[in-house]
Amino acid sequence: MKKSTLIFFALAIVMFSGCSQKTPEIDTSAPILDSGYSEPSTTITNDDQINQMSTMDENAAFATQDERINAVQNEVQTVYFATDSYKLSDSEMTKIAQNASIFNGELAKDLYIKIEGNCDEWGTDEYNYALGLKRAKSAKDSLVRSGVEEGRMSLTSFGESKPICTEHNAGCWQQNRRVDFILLP
Amino acid sequence: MRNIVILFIFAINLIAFDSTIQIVKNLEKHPRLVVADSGSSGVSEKIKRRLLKLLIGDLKVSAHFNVDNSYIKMDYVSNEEIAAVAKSGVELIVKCKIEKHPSGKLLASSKLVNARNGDVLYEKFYSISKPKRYPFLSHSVAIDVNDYFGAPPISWMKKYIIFARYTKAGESEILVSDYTLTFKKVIVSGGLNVFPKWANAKQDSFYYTSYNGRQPTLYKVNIYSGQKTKVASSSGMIVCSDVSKDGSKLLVTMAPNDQPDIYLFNTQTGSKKRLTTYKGIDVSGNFVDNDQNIVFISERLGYPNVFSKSVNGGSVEQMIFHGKNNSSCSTHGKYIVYSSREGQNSFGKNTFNLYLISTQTDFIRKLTTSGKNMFPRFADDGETVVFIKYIGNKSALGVLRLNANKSFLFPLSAGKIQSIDW
Repeated sequence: MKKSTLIFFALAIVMFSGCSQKTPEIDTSAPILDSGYSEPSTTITNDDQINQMSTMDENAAFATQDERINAVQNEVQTVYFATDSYKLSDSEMTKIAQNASIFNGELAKDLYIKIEGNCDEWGTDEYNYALGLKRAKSAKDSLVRSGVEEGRMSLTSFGESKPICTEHNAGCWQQNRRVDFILLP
Repeated sequence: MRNIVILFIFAINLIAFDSTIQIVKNLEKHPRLVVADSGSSGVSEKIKRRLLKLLIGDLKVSAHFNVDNSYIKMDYVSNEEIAAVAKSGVELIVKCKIEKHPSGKLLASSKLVNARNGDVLYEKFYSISKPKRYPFLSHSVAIDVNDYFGAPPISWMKKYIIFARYTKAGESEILVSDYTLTFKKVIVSGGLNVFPKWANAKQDSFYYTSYNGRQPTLYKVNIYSGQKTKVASSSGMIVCSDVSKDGSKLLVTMAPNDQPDIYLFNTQTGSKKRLTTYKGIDVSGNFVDNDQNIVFISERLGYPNVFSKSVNGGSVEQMIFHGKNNSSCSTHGKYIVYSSREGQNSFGKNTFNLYLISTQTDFIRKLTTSGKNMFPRFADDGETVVFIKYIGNKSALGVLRLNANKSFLFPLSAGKIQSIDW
């Protein structure tokens, strides 16, 4: 056997042995031409299996459903708004995307989400309640775009009726112009 | 005396033809009047003093008299002291005697006396079955004094105010009171209950929004029978903004598709018709023009402002061309009173002021000059506006007498007023 042929076989062995490390992620039965399409679905299937295993483990850590909901709730982020605005800033959009991952995760995917819009004390009229609702709607629309099923979400506006800060300064008012996400069974 | 006062009232009415014109200097002479303590029996000194003080306040709020603040005692029958009082320039004396009847009723006797000659212009008797409602005795006496001279009516003083007040975060209650907030009675408590609205002129029923179920729900309650009926519910929000004159139709802000819009709600059939379709915020519908048109708040120009349209559809018309944040309004005939956020600094001292505009002129009249003044509501007479004034964590009920260019504040001792109606 020629020296160049030996080198080719040696390289081939190295290459095949390297590929074999990823076999759990690849559906080898799929046609090579379709690999671009079949591989992701196979990978997702494997991820799902991993997630399911993980979920069972995590569930086992919670004695009750309430404990599980509370644990997830603590990870959910409140989003905040500028004065008179119901537009989400880029930073708050990032929080929404992170919340979407949590809501679609194994620990929360069977839960409903109540989205509560809130306003600062500057206004007690219907307009303020409507503003709170539009804030909740902005958050919901953003969650839908991030893949959260619309049917899991409901909206309520509390206007200025549920302040978390009652001092009279700009920092406090900022805390009250917010949308809360409440997880429900 | 009566002719002089009637002449004065006539002059006031001439000036008051357009309420948007501010009365800068009042040249007319108000008749000088004093309230006299003519004794009591079975009633504590505290209650008697309070009632007399209220009567002085009522007559001041009427804005038709120059009311003396001094406390005087005067025999109910005898006129011996009248000459001395007349010397000080007093022209009218309202003698008032308070008694508690064995049945538990609170009784008041009142005489209006001409201080110049001692003539009794009239004598009237009043009773109220529940002594706690004594402010209404005072209001009734004041209304009769006012009516004797044919002055523009102040019968709105006898109407009940209904309001919601926040007690803590996420909780509020609904109360009825007299216009001075002296008499108060909680009629809905527990949870979050907001936006009460009288269902009719008789004030025997009211609508309110409850946040205590799965969705915000609009209820109608009869205050005498306690019967509570569910009217409608909606995701997001639901508020009864106005009731038609005959009570058969409501303007309701609701959001069945997460979108706050104004709906015309038929109370007899339960059917509803969507009146606004803007994708942003449309709220606070008010009936005008015999319930054929509505005035409402919309942010369709990028900021809240006052618009109108027909209940039968058609185009939307901008009503206010002043201010950049006009988020609440009330209508009466050709007049619109609205709250406008002022200045560049949203959180400065001078934040929300009330303005009055006529739909038939270009005049705008500023009704308040400082502080946070919101939620204006016209009285039936169109001359009086109540509103909420916020001072820190406290709030007060404000009463504006448009034609007299006067305002009065009645602080709420506890809680923060959320909304009012009368």
